[in-house]
Amino acid sequence: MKTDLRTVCLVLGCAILLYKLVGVARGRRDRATVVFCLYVGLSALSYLVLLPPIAARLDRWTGILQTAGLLSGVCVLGLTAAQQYLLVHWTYSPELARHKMRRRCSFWVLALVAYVGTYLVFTPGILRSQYFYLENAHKVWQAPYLLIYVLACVVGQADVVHHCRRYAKIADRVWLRCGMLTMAAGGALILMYGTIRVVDLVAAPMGLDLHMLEPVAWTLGDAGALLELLGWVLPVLGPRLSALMQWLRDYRTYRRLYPLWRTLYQEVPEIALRPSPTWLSDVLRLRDVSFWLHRRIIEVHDALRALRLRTGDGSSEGVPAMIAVLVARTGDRDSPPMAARDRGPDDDVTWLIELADELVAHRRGLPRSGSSAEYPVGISRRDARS
Amino acid sequence: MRYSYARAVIKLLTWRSTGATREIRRLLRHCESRFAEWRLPASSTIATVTQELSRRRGRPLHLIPLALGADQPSGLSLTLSTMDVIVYEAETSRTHQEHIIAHELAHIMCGHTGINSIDENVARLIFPNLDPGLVRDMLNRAGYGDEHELEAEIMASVILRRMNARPERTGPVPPAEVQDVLDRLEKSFSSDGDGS
Repeated sequence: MKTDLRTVCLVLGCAILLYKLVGVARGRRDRATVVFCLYVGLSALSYLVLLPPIAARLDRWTGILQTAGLLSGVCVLGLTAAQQYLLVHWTYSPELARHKMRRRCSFWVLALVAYVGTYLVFTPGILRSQYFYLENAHKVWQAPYLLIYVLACVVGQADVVHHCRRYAKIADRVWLRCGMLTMAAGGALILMYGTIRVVDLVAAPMGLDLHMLEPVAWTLGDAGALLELLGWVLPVLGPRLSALMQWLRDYRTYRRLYPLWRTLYQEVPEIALRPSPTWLSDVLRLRDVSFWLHRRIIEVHDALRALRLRTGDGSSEGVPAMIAVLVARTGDRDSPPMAARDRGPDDDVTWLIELADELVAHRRGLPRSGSSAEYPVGISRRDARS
Repeated sequence: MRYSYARAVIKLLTWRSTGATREIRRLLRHCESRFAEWRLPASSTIATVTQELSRRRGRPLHLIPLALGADQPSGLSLTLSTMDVIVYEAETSRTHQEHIIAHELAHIMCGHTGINSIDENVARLIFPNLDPGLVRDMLNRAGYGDEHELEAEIMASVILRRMNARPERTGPVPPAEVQDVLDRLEKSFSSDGDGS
């Protein structure tokens, strides 16, 4: 579970970094973008160095035990500082942000120097262990880097939760709000991880055994980091996801209306803008789908209106029975769920899909399921009542 | 058999849109850029578009719903000496009505001109008291035979698509300082390269 989550974080971090670097290569080199790349890059690196084969090689190369732990900690402090930069950049005017960042930068540089310095002075004496924190926490005076790391994480993530909740409240775009809430949730999980670490530092010297909390702590930390990464990308990728879903919905509706449109087109060929598409070209019509869907809806209405003239005298001469019944249904005020003029765009599409499905079911000789099941295409509801 | 199968596969792989579809796409892009110049908000209504056109022309534009019947055009626009009038089919769905109105608005927007005399039967049906001599121009929606009808039809689709697009942003306009924060956030999350 721990490794799986870390692998997901690593892959996601690399993917986002690659995406952002493409933007940088295309000329987007503003400071916020560069800092964002730094944040994502450090996030991916913090997971990369913890992969067992890489961690072992790092130890061998440097000759320092737990080099991976040191590097991972540096990455986490660095990415927390990058997050701080972005929060300040978004919250304050450029002049005020510069002033505030100078002070915060001093704090984070100090924290980093203290962390690395104490780590090198008090090098952990144990080999890599999944209980690294716990096994060092009982002698915190010999491992002050743990205290620096945990406190810096808690301070940084408390700021992330506070600011992202505020951004979510003021966001006027759904995906921006989703992203900020996801980031706040991620920050809250990392805060819980930090709380467990603080409890470790306090309880371990008292001899309490907190090994059972370790899996929870790691899961909270990794899940929080994953949510934060997702939160940073949702405002960018969300709209594209929405557009893709809309395209799929439009294409599905476009294809579902084809049998109805085709049947009506054979009776009233004038409805089409240009010669009708073949079945294959209709299937392959993948560009401007919303335009072609709108056209299909209007062309169906145009055909139904034109056919009402032919069937108006009740004789329906020259009009196939199936079409005559369809047209009769459109003129039957009781049959549709609401009068034609009251139907908005969504109701209209639903109603047309129902007509198209009835047509297909009728051709296949199947009874219709759902609300209109008891009214096959040949019988209107008014007829059914009488 | 194998040859015809291979030919069908090659045909499918090299399939391109027909000339007619390409022409429609070209007109679609043209209409989209033309309508975008109006800079109307995404959630505009047909009334908003009508008012904007009326404002731009500096003369009133009236929309009149009528049960025209299937033997009449579904919509028509009349250019009178002092005003513009659009008559549209009342007995159809709202989407269809809006499309018919948008089609007539598109004719006016695109500066199309039609016949200079009003059809007597139509005039009697729609305006029993109207002097046909007052009508300077008339266009109706009854087919897509010529280039003007095709352009109006495509422009109508562009207008309706824009109207039915769900607004990306919700809620009232925020105070200036909140808007500044949102602008900085949006700039960071935009993917078009205009960074801060």
